Amino acid sequence: MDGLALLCTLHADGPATLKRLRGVGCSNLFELLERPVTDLAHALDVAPAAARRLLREARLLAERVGPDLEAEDAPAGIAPPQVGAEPLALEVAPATNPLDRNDRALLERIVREGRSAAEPNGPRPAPAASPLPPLAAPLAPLERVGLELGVDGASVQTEPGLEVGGPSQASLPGPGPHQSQAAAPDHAPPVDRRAFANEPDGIVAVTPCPAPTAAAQAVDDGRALLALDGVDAELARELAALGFGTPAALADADSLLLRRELGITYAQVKRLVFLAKRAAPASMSPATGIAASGLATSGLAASGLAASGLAASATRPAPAAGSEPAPLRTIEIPRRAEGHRPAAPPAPAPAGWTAADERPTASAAPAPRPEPEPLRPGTWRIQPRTEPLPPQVEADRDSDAAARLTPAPVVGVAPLAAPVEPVRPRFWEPRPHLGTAAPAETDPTQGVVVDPSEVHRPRRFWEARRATAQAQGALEHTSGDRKVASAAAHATPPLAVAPQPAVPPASAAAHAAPHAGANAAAGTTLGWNFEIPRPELPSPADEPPQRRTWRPLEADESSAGPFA
Amino acid sequence: MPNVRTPQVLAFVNQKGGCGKTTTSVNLAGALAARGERVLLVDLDPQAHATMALGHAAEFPTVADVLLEDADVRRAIVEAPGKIHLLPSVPRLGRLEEVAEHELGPERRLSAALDLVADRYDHVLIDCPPRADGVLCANALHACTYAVLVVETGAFALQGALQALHILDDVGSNLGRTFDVRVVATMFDRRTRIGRELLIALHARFGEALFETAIRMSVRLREAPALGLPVQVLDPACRAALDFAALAAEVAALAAHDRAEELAPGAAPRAHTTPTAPPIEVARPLITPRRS
Repeated sequence: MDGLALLCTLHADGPATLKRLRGVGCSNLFELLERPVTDLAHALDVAPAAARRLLREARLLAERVGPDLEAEDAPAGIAPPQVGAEPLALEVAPATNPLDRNDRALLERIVREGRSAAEPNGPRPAPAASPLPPLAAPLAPLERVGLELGVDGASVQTEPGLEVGGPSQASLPGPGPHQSQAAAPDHAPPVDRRAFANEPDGIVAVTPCPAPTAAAQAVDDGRALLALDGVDAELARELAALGFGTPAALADADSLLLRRELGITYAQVKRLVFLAKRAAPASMSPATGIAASGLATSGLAASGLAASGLAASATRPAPAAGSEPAPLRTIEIPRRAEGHRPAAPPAPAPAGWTAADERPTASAAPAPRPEPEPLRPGTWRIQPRTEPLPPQVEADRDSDAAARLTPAPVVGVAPLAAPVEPVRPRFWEPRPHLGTAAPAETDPTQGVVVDPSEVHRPRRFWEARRATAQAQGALEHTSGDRKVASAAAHATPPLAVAPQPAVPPASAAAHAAPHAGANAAAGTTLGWNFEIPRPELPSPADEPPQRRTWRPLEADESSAGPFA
Repeated sequence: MPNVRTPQVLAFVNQKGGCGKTTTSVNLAGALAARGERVLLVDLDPQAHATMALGHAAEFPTVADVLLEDADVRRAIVEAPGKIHLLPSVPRLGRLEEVAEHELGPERRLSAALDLVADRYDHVLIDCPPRADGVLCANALHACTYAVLVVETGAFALQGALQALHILDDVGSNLGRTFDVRVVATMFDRRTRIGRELLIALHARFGEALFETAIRMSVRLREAPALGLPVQVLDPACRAALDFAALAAEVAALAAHDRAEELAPGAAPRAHTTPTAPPIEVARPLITPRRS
């Protein structure tokens, strides 16, 4: 089965459509896709909308079945689809720069400030038209440090522990005896060597705080979108590759574009955008916004770094060659921000706690438990058992000893009142409104008094049929209250037999299998006789005169239907 | 050696019951006969549903007598509605599974019997029992040129098809031969998503081995066996009849292609047996297997 046959089977009339398509010269899906809608509609004798729908399904099917089965059918001018056999999984090429324009501007500003702060002659004037270099291009080491740490260059330059060899090498400490590993403090954060594997020796990067670094990375791979319901890692990655790495960016996205690029339905895209719009204000807060904490509110991040003292170790001497590298610390970003978590239900209080007992908090010192309030009369408080239980006696239920034994007093259990069973009426007792109560009086002024003699009974269908037959002059053979279908079935003297029309048998079965029996000519289903044998008609002499008899229906009684 | 025209032998197999083997074989036989082809339908199922679907009451001799007691196959073949020649079955055919272990080469009996009527037919269709690893199905696979895997486009269709393929491989290796495997999808309902997805999956899995025609669901396919007729006789214009007509066209084209290859100059002649062959040669397969 080729793709065209599959398309015709799935979305058209199967072999008939396939024959028509091949009749007009379409031998595969690619030739079908080249056809205009009008020609296809004319060839298939369908409406243009149907032809358009078939072309759309053909395009989707061509993308879905992949080039493996259709590559040999593809003409030279048309490239086969590049999508694999995975259904509806559009492979989006990883973008070199998934950041949107605002994020790029922020990064540019951060890097520019850091560079100007590192200049010995003071900050340079910003160029009038700041050319935005492509971020995919390799950045300068300082820029990379700034990007990696998420701090501006000023804070890096003013750190007292930073030893520079020159103004232009502010962040490029060369190897030296003071850069041994022993010089590094023991409590120094671990070193991430992965991002600087290609840098000159001596450059190390410290990952002191995961928030700013993870923020940029979260925007890159779309982890900021994981807070949205229904967004998994793959979809978030695809969205980030399309440039929608943040909920704010996703909220302004074109739904049609997303639907076309992601291969999901329009309704799903609309819901995704809605969720992004709802989550966008929350994501901008410092506590929850991953992207915003590192990019839009970089000042907050920088101040946080300075306050925590981790910025002091932004760059530090590299360990000596051959020394054991410090273990890497992984940065974990929660999939769902705290602000999006639903409020957790309060934990159930343990048994024995009263309302006066509050949950102890870590911040406050454990306060002494207040004295219990005096109990109201009639209430019980659970108290530990102080008396031993009386011995349990195994006694027969019917014996007198069991009756004499009194149950042991249960300490701490409130005496319960005997349950009051609801009084339910017996089912055999008559309902008041059915048996005893008088029916409600109706308003005599309401309603319309109808004389039954004025009401015309609607005409039954057999009456209409009989009237039509009589009008045509054909009399039907009737026996009793039942109409006889075949003349050979009963030998009752008929009034007349309706002439059979000179047409072939009604059913194709009877036409194909004339040997099926005489009943096949009578039009019965499957050639079987469904005639119900009727009882013998009593003779007029035997029947009592007052008893109703079965007799042939007369022509003038045509108005009376069966069982009338 | 006289040039005996070898028929195309199709064995409709699947170890799953209720997937449409009997319906497909009966109505495809009717469609081929409607095209003017000479068709023999062999009911190799002890349930004898193909026999009943053609409105035939099994009389002596049947395929059971042919396989169990070496009756003459030419006397067992009857004419059924739709110009189909039928080799009927009876439930007694199930005894072949019991006595097969005491016989020598029980899987070659059907091919030896069909050898006697090979020049009378263009197509021989064998309706196999659901058990694909039994001796009855082995008889069909030993005699066939194509094993047509009937796959219902329902739940577990792809898994069942792959499992049947493994069984066919095992049986083929045990028989010491190979055969072409073709797949036909049945009971297709394009209104259901699972049907569409399964057909796409079958297309992705089997590719060209899948017949272009998928047999769609039709009420006529349920009415025709009750009347003892092929669907082409019951209603030639119905959807099911059109489907089987298209499938018959594919089968006929396949047979024509095989004959063209067989008659091509330089092509190796396909082995066949003749009535004058020695007894040991009679037991050989009627048709040389084609390399897939």
